[in-house]
Amino acid sequence: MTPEQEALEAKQARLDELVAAEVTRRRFLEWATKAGMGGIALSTVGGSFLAACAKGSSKANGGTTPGPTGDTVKIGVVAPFSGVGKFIGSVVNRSTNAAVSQLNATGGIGGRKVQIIAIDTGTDPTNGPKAYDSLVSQGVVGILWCFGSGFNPSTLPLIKRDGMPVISVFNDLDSTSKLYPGTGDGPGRSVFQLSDNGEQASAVAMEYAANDRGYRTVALIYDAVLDSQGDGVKIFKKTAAAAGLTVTGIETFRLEESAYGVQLDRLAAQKPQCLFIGGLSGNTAGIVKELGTRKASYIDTPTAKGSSWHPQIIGSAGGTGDKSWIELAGADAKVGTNTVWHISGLIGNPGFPITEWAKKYQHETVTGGEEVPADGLATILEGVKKAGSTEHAKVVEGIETMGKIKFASIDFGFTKDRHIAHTKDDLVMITMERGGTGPVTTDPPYKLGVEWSSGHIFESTAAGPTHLVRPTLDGNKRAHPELMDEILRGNYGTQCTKHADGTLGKECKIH
Amino acid sequence: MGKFIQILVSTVTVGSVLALVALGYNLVFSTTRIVNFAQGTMLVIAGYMAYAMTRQGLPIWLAFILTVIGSAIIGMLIELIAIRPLGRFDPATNVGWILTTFSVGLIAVDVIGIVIDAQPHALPNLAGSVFGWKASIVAGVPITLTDIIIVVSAVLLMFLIEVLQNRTMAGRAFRAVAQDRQTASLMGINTTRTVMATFALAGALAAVGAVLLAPKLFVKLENGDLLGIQAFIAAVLGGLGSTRGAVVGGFAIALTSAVVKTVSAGAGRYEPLVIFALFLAVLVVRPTGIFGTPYVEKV
Repeated sequence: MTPEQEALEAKQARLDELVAAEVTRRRFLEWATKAGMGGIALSTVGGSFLAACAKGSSKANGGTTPGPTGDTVKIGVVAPFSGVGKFIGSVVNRSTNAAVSQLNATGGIGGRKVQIIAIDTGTDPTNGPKAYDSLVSQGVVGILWCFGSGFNPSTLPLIKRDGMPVISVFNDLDSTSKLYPGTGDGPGRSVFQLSDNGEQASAVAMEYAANDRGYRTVALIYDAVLDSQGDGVKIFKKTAAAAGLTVTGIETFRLEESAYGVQLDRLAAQKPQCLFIGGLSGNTAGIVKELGTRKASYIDTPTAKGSSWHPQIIGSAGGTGDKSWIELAGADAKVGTNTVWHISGLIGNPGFPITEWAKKYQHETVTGGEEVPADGLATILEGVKKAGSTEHAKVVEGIETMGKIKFASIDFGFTKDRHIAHTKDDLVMITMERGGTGPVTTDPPYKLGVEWSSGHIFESTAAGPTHLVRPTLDGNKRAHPELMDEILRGNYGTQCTKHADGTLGKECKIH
Repeated sequence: MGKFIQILVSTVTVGSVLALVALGYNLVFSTTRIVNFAQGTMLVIAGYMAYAMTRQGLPIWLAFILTVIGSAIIGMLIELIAIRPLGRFDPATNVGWILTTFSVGLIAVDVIGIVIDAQPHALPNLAGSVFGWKASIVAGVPITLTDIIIVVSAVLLMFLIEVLQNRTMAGRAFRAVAQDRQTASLMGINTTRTVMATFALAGALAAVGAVLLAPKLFVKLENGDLLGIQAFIAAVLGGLGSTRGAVVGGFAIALTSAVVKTVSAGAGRYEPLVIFALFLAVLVVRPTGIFGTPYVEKV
């Protein structure tokens, strides 16, 4: 690399750092969710002029790792590396650069170097087919599609035509229910999804509300722009019924909403004990602020079950899973407002190799989300290894038969009938929390996990995700006994119900 | 009774939110006959400007004053970048301003995302309380100090702009430039400065809106597009160029929205359909909007 190239890369890295300084994994989901809105969303919700300028100018980004021509395994990466969604590309770059460095430093794939060919789609959904064609012409073995942008009805037939192994890296509305076999009319066999899907997450939240908190009634208020097809409502009803919960109200709002009075009036009349909010951080904060003004904020579980209306809030990943909602809601952000994540998304967890690789090879600190593209990369390469070939159909078969692997975060795998990596047992309840004492005083006192203490990842963080260990502990132990053992022993997450003798109680109000 | 009060409160608060932004569109249009599609973005710029200042420890009142000044300068810059290079043109036939104002707005949003950040933020409340009062619940409907201030500000600004336009020399200059820029110039009016002053005022107005609306809508990159489009519809519905039309247009949209929401819990899915139907119906009957007057060129 020439000094000029090095200087350019350093400059790029600094810019990336600047943009991604506040990035959380939730921001990914927020952006991915927006992408699911299609063309309207991307032209109205911060649609990027710069991205539009980049349209058609597919480029190899900073994520490209040079390797000897003819002696490399090429993997395509599609992500927004420019425009408003650039922070996503920054995290993808950090992830794939660290992973590729690690892979090539440890012998590559059967002696062949791994090379990333990155294509910038900005936030323009129409760039998808062009990006795909470009990658095909460059002979990639598989593609990591790191954003919803372009992963749409225009691109999916091309993927199906070629049987291209594609990893849907981040959750979005399309990949939630339509991409993998048996779940819809998507391209089916060659697409694999890494992130958890909406139905699993909703099922976990409902079981938590019904079994852990003992609620009997739930309601939903959701963004009708983001979920224009009502897919989330169907999932909500189905999972509520499965958990034995009675739905007492379903209300809508719009992304641009500035007042929620009419909807909350109707909900207040029904007094649901638990209120699900399907929206981004701004709307979610607006709703809880209005609940605060009505003196209907959540206090604790017994009060939520009482005669006055103080519902416990469970938000979507892009809402209460985005740390910015705490800043926006201020004093109305109450402890006990939760969401559901995948356990590998908790970057503060112990022993995730991607954290070390980023430090070692890129001298960078992960911000959350880096584990997912790296695991996607490992998936394709494991398929190649298993197949002993780079032929698409054989790689797909290789992925389907690779069993469980562990690479950047926790172990995961796919089968022929199961193209989604995670199960319900991989999911955890989390609450966004401020460092220090938290938004309100609790009884018993709220103790943040060890990841918030000196020398750990959240040491200097104003707000971040707190893993509520107990609600999903049994399932998590089934899926990841070693990791959970380490979490319990190391005092990660919120374990305030852990007694002196090590047993776990249910008396804690903060959940 | 509760429902009626809820509809009333929603209408005046949401309507005033839209009116505050729509007034900016009108101000520029009434002088230049162009629609500044960067007006929504000015709201975003002002919001992030105020956020950046408060993050540095400035009290919100001082940040507010500085943001109004800064946003006025941004308004002038937008005129300088998006309008001035087009030279003398007839806005009705030469529509390059649509692209330039729109583009400047989009670029500015990207720049904010890079220079400050792309995260939504809250601003400290400009008026935390008056004599300790923050909110009351009337017939089950919460009414906050923020709501009251937004409504009062929208109405007050409407009157102030009307006074400025109709009772002052500057206002006469605005109208003269709008009527015929060449003749206004011959009459001794510095048309370049007048147009720039209009953009500065629109910028200042955006700053007022951004800070006042922050407790409800926060500071978000999306606000420019989301709110900008609705406010533009409000301005056209009320009659582009009419100051009180902007307020009435905002109230009309907010009333429609509140009624639709009251009728149906699923309103979020078809609310825009109803609003656009109303928009079309009004424009069919009155193509110039509720308070708009046909633009007649004197020859």
